[in-house]
Amino acid sequence: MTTSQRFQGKVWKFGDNIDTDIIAPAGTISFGLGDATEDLDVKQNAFRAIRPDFHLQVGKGDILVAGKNFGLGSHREPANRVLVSLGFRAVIAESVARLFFRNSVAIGFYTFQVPGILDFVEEGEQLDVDVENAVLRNLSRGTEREMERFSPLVRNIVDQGGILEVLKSRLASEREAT
Amino acid sequence: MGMTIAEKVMARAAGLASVRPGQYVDCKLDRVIAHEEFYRIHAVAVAAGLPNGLPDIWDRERFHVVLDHFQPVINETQALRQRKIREVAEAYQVKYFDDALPSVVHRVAVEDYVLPGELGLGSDSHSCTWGALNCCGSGMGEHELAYGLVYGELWFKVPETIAVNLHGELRPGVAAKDIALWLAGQYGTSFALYKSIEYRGEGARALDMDARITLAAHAVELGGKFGLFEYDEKTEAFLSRRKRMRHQLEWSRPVSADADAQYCQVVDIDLSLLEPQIAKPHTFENVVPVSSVAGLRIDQAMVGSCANGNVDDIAAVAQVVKGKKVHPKTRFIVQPNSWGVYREAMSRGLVDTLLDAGVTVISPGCHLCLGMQGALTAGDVCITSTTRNHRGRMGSGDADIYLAGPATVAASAIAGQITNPMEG
Repeated sequence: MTTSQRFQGKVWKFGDNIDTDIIAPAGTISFGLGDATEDLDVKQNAFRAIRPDFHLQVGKGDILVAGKNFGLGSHREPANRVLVSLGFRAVIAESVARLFFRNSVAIGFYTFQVPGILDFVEEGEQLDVDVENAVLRNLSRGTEREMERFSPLVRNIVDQGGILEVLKSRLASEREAT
Repeated sequence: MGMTIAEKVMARAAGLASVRPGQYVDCKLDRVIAHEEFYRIHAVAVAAGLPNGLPDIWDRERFHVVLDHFQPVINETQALRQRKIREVAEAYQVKYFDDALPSVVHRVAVEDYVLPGELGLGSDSHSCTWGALNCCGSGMGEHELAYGLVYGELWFKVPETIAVNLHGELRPGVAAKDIALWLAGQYGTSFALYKSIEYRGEGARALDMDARITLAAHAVELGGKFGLFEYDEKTEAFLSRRKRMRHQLEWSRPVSADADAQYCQVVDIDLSLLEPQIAKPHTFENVVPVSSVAGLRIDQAMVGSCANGNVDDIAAVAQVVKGKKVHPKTRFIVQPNSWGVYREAMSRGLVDTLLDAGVTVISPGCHLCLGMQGALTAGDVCITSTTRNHRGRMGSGDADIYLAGPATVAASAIAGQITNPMEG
């Protein structure tokens, strides 16, 4: 069963301190126009220093699991957006760098901090992410554990599809009011 | 209960008498500064279905665009982006636009724009640099800045605060960089995740503004949201020399932590015992004393960036290289972080000293820190006083980047191998 609040996916597993220079190498984003050419360039180079041609391996709906401080480094929003274009449905890490977390919320992409996740799942196993009930299940092992719930504020932004959807709603409601 | 600097600033910005760590608040923004990502702010708004981009900017007195990452540009595609940025800046009627003034945005911010007590956001992760000036500055992505620029407000989670108490004085050859590296070595890059760092104590007061800039900039390498210093006579003197935007100086509202403020962690450092530190590839927390890797061959040495392109950093280099020559097999590149810094270094004769020693001094900007100039190929070993040593940051993923203080970098450049400046 896959809904916006519950989904399953195959796990790709990384260690600690996966920085934005690894996720979206600086050289690929020097153009920086935020267009389709840039998106493709970032996608083809994503993770190249540690997993060349990663974009050919990830499948739609897969889940990226990582260690502590995932996404540290430059603010670099392409590093968040490329996870979507690679096909990932969510990131679950021991901990997540502040800017990476905020950028994820801002583009409406689920990023969870789950201490102990590295012991809970191995690469290739299937995870079931139940956002509504804040439960994580390892379908390959038949185990489950709790997750911390998002704050209502953060979840509201993610569920609306990101902060620009919130912005558009606010602009529209102000137009109606005048 | 008392409040920390971050709590006081966020309470004021949220219109509340007090806030506590963990609380979610909507804060009014005092300052937004964007660099080249200004174009992306516009682009994401268009992509989200706002055909003309942002409907308006909430306050043009509090918004600045400073082009620093690709200034001067090095290829046609960057030139195209600059053209587009100009068009967008004109469309939005940006009042303060440093279009053709190569400098690192954060140095420009503390020299000319941000003020004590402000809550400010920048389109760059090192916006925490502004904390040197008692300003709660932090990085933010383009989607959120789009929202912030329209409404002048954004959601925040009030951070816990770590107090780092500095005692005593640094010995010659040891710099603020070594304090940041030591902290990362001890506590890791998650040390201050979602937290604010306050550098406190007589050792913090004794640090000059340039050293404070180094430590504030590196708050983000320690995971932090802010890297803050109290306002004191050094901050005041620095502000009094401000050349632009003097009409806003009266908006300055310095904020001091309460005596009974609550800190989630307190770290004490005796600066007089600190020895030069170095971060080995490929993380900021992979730190050892310089002496333990001394003798390693290097191909390139660099000093620059928001953190270490300051006058004090260039003076530290000059002191080491004066009367000596850079090793013939080592490229040594220094990049001041603003024209103000560049000119002061020139007037003090520091640039001549560097040039006499065979150091390449390039125009101000961010280039060295991310391989826009001085890029590395497989097998290259670089020692650098810039901000990050992530794999692939300066080109090849098979190059090794070591991070150290400016004196360590300079001593290593002379020797052609990693060298402890206290012994070199």
